[in-house]
Amino acid sequence: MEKDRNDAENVGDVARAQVPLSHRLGFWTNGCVLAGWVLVLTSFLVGGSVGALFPLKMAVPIILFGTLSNALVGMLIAGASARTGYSSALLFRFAYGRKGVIFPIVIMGLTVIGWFSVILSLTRDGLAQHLGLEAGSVPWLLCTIALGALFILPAVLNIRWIAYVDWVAVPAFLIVFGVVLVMTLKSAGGIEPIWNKWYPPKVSPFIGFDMAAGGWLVGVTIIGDVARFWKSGRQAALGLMIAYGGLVTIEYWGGAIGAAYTGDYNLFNIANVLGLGFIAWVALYLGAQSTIQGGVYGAGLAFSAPPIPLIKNQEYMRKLMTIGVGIAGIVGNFAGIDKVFFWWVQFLTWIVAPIAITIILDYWAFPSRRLQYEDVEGADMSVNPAAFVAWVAGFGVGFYTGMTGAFSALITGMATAGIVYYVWMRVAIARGTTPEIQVFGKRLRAA
Amino acid sequence: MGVVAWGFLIGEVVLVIWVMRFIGRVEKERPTASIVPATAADIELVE
Repeated sequence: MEKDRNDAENVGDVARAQVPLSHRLGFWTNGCVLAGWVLVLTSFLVGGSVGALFPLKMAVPIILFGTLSNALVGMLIAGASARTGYSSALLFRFAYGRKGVIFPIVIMGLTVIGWFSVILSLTRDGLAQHLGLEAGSVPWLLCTIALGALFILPAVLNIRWIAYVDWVAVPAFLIVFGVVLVMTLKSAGGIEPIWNKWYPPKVSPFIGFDMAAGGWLVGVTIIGDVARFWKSGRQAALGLMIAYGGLVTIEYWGGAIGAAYTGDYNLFNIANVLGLGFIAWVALYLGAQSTIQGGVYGAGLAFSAPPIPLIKNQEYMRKLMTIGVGIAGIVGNFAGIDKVFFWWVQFLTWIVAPIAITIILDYWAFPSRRLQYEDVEGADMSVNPAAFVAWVAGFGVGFYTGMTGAFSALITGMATAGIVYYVWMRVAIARGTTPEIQVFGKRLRAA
Repeated sequence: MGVVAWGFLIGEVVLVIWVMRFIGRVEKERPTASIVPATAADIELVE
């Protein structure tokens, strides 16, 4: 009895098990967490970047195609997470294997640390500009640490605290966004002049699509970390559709409208030009807070999952790893990893797209494997060669297509990885074996 | 917007609807409530 109570007290946000029904959140709370997750300045930057390259008549459908692609990936991954109650790291174990899962965990974890540094820089620089702080001064350092600590705090506490922050951040961000949009349109003389403004597109529409869809690809691939609190797969899918098909589309379109009018892709600069000043910074901060707290939370969960050894209990470990990820982000910011990070971002779509399609197919395309997830039998491989070969093929083809600009690197990379994974797994399942046994002759775990 | 672009967009909307229906069908066959533990006392740690 005593042991049961202790175990229950250590459950927290269930870092190393399925989220039980008793810990699931309501539709609106989950919706608010998702809205907070997607409302962020970097979304406007992506929309603005597309808008700077294409006239609005072209940018609008290109963006819609990209955000609907995000919605599709997000709905399928979120649906799997909500149904199983597994975090991303626990879900990825089935496709990549118990030890192989380290590969996606490290990629996603490092990416979140990079994003943390970038968003911290953007937010801190905006504040420093308003307060007149000199870079490297003591108040500047204290500002950086304080903002970083605020980003981490709700994630360390639990998912409910993330929701509490979002209940304030989401409406406030939307109000400021609405004001910026209305002021931009008013100053431009309505939507018509912007809509009719034509300039020749600078790149292929496929590159525009890759920019729009790639901007949130990591976000939808790790969406399971927050989506597992939905009460059913259907609810999670609906929530993802509203968040990506709705909110992100509006954000991207807003960024594109701003860019079409001012020629600048940065909403923060547009807001400054419109004379919004400090209010724009507050919106920037709330958007940053509501998104990066979710990112740190997810990375903390990822680094708390097996095969990383358990320290004390699952909730203690989750908090420890979340703090660790946050500190790495702050230290990385001082070390300037946000500058190196943009080099990494250009490869991100090609790196993550094959991972996303592998996870989706493993759960949804094979009913027998879906039962394995749902019946808590655990992952049946230590390392799944099919997932790794599919990743190499998808990355290679995506990289090549991206470099030549012939077609969408995201679509070709995903399609290649998907076909390789599906065919190999189908053959293995039909023969009653696994790719691991086919390649190594035995289950590596038993060695 | 060209015919091909419209084709892409309409095809994607149809795919989104199909995915929603597919997830709904899987959910109907085996509801989430029948898969996951009911309370914290029922959970098993992933090893």
